Amino acid sequence: MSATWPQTGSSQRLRTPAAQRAAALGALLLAAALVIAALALPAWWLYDRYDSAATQLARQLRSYTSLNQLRPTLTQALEALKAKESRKFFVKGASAALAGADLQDIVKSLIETNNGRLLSSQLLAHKDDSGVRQVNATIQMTASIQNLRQILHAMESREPYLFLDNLTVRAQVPSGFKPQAGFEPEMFIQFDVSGLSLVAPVAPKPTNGKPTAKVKS
Amino acid sequence: MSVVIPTSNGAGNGQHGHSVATRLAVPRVLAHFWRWWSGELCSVITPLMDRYWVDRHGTIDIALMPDGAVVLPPRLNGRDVRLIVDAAHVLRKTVAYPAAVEENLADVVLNDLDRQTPFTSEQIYLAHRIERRYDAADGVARIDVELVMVMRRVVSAALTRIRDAGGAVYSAVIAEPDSAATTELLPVAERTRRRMSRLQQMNLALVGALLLLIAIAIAVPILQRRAEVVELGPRVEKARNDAEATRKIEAEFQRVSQEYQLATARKYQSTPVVDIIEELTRLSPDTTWLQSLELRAPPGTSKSNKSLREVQLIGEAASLSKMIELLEQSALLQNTTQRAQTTRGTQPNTERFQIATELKPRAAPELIDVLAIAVVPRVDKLTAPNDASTILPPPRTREAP
Repeated sequence: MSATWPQTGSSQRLRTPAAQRAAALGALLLAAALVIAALALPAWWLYDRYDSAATQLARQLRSYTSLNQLRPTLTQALEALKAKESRKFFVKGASAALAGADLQDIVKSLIETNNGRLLSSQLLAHKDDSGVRQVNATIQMTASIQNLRQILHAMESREPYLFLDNLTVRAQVPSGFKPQAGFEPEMFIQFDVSGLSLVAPVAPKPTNGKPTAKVKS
Repeated sequence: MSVVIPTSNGAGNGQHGHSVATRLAVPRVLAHFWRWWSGELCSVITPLMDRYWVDRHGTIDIALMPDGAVVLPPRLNGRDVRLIVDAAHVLRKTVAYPAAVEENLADVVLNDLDRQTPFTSEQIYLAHRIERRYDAADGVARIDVELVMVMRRVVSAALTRIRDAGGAVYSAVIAEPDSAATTELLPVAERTRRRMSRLQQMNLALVGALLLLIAIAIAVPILQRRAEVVELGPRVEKARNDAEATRKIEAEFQRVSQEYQLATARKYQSTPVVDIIEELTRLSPDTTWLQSLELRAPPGTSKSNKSLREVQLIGEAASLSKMIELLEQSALLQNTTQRAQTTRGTQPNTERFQIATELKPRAAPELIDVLAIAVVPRVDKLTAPNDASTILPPPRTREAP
């Protein structure tokens, strides 16, 4: 049988036996390359898949291990922090109204304990920031200079922390007033006092920062 | 390249190329390609195999002379023999067929044998090859097929002698006088399979070993990586579960630390009012009478500087300038300025003043590394909580006045 391939068209160049042989060998090389590719590509894909997975797992293991190695340190640090009882720095009350009431109670108690006279107490708008709520109140009172020092000291050195601002102290006697022995003139005092309370994770209802209570004494 | 195929004239006489393509029922174009390709490759590979693969020590060519005689070598036992038939024994005839019969040419030639020759298929060894393809004058595509015939009795006698002498005939070919090509006469069923020499067996074993090593070289890294993945999986899972617990502790630590930091930082930022009153009391001369004290943010304070506080003092003193000088020496106060015109006081030798002084910003104390306090040293700073790990020391409690 005499076989020539292909017979038509551009195959005129393959008329010579050498060209036919070269074409057949080229086709053989192509077929061999295809066979090698058909074997090598799945093997390469499989290796790459396992290699990627192993690399990723090793990286994860390193990361998790280094994090887990911190665990004893973290646990001890947490216990050390918990021992400081940071909650005692905050006024109690899940809502702004409750926290404000607590704040007012504390202030009232401190003023009266130290012989001051509370004139009025009014809650101001509270402010929430970074999971902490600042409850504010304006206090008006009268006290002598010595009692004022004691009241301020009591407020600023106790827990929960109280912060004073916008203080006004006004003498109610004229300059050069000489009191009788054992008598201290009273002064008019007004200040803003604020305390911090922890905001509950799920607040039941926003109060839009409006004052929630007003106490007059 | 011309390929001559022995025509199937015996039962089970399978052929290469043509019949394979027919059995696979591949499309005609592919069958044609396969015939061409296999024929070309055979013409290249067969000489190479003869030259480099065939063990010449175990193979011998024996010629079938024009007179029908064969000259046998002295020792033939166990050797592979190729019988080379002299062209004098060959009958040739060219027959024209329609090109459509090409796919089943072997069967067509066999069926047409008694019409074209006086012989039956049992009397001759028959081979055929396509000499030419062309379009006839009537427009029908046609092929010229050359029939190559050798009388079976001539070849059989020689084959019998060789086999009797112990030779194994693996091929019987016609030596073409005008070329190096040969025409195979023996159908596959009548050929004795060539035995492999020890060298060939060793070569085949080496090739097999090479392929096996390649397969191992490919498979071993894959299996190693797979084993690694299988081994790492449970460890990572356990480490992940531990890490989840660690992260919960870390989150709790950060939350508690943040609570602590917020309160203490705020405490440090604000100067205690009682300290300010104490400082003013300490610095003011005994002749000073304060009518009013106000502590508030100075007018026009921006939001970025909302911690700035100003103390405004109204009262009477012997010397305003002396008082400003004393206030400027304070560790708590700075930038003391006069806010209103100085007038005569209600008391003799006094001045009524209105001054304002700013509170100095408080320097935060050095942070304490909470993690450093713990006994276990820190392993990886990167994964440690950053801001939460350092805290302010607790504020000191002032003694009661």
